[in-house]
Amino acid sequence: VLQKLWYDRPVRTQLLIAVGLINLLAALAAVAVSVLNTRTATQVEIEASLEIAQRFVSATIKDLAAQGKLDQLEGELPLQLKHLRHVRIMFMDVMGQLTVVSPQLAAGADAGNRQAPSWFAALVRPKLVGRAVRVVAAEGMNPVVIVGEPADEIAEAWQDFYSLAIVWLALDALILAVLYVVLGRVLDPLASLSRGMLKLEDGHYATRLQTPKVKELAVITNRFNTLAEALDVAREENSGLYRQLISVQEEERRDIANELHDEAGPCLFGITANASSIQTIADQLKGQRTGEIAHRVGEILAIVERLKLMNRALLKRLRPGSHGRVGLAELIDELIAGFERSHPGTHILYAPGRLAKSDLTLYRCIQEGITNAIRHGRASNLSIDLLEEAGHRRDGAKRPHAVLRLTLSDDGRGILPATPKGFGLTTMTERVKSLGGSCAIESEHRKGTTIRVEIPLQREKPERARALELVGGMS
Amino acid sequence: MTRVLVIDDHPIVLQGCRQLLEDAGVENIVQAQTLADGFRLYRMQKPDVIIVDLAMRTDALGGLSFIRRLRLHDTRTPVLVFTMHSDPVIVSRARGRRHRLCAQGHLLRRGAEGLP
Repeated sequence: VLQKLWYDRPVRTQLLIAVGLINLLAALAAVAVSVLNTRTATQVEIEASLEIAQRFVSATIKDLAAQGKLDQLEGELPLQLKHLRHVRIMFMDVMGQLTVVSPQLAAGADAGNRQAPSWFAALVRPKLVGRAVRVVAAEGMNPVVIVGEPADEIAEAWQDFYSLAIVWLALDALILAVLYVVLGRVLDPLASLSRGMLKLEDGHYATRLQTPKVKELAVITNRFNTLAEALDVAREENSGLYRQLISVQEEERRDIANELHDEAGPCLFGITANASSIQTIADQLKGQRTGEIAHRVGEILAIVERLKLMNRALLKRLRPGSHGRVGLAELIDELIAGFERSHPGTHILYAPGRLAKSDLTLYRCIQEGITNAIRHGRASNLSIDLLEEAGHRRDGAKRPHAVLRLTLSDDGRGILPATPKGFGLTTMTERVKSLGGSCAIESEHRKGTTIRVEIPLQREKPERARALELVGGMS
Repeated sequence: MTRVLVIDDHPIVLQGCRQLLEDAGVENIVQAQTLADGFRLYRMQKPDVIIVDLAMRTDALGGLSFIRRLRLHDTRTPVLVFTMHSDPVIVSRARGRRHRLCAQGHLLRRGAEGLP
């Protein structure tokens, strides 16, 4: 719960909540102190007022008695007492009925004072038990009852309290608003750092961040930029090395293929021709051992035939398409048929769409994907989808840009996340990247692997140029 | 007596061809390792049959250009093309009328299958 309520919130919210809470606590403390003070002050005030009122009433009664005008008391007393606050003076008649004589309730007398709400009055009302009522009695007159009345004092205290509360609320809102803006400014570089990290993680090594004005964050941002730069350079070097590796590999393959074609081929032909010649000679001879010679020659020819098959298979693997003008689709068909022949337990479902001419990259991707699925994934079922579709350029330009989409899925063991990408898959990715394409490998342990390759298609070359290129590529 | 000109840039192939031809009863065999030599020998010896390798080390489809050049002067001498290519496009180009090359047959070096 704490995690959800507190730790999952952004730092800015956490700080604002903390500051708000501190402010609220301070305000509560101030309220408590002010309530206590008000209560004491009201008590003191009321007691003093009662005292003064009692003396005043006694003195007035004495004066009037001395002048023999005690009957005028009811008219005189309110006049004399009109400046006394916090007391209520009442006459008690013979029946025990109380009549208020002071303060005289004038219309709108309390208009200036806002009446305190009952909860506030209850909080600050002093305890005046036993001392809140004074009685002044004299002969020949009804007794005068004086009652302490804190209501207007409480109303005044409420007025102060109310104004202070408004000011506090306004100030608090202002502080929080300012903090919100300032924290936003201070924390924004952190958010942009986090965004930058995500971009780096996605492989956008050209990401650089603007240096913020906050000193400490500026240091971190500069470090980030240096790191991104280093990664960028390392990645570029890596890519270069891989490209070199691929070209060295292709060159090596080409050299070996040339040797096989130009040297091994003629030698095998030479052996066949000579062995056939021996056979012819043996046929012409008469004797016991001619049958044996023919038998041995047959053996030699069979062995040479095996070597020739091997030579052809090797040539096909090393330099597919160099034997003649064969389209990519046929080459892939042949490749898949070859895999199925050599791995009878594996079923490959191949669904080719319309195929344009492409270079060997796609062929190598399929070759590597199948090899990987069979050799490392021990897959028994593979499906290969190949189609050309009109897509959109990555930079968002509207011009449609045809792409070749290859999807290879298998039901093999999958690749463990911790397993480093092997040489084959890495060179495959680099090959595709060097053509401006993308290669994504998704794998779940024991749930197979899916390889998605996307290669942008170059504009179709004119037929003649392509034919020349194909012829030139042969030997 | 049939005279055969064999043009191939590999000595082992030449030797093998000679062996096969001799076994077949051909006695007059002329050999050339380059197309230029082959053309010179053709003019000097006027062979009855020419066997030429389609793919020379220096020229991927040199055999085709040889036949093309030959056919400018001579449309009658039969030509056999010697190749590792089984691609029908290349073969039909070597034999095709459109190109006026008219090679009489092609021989696959890779095995027993060959002359049509």
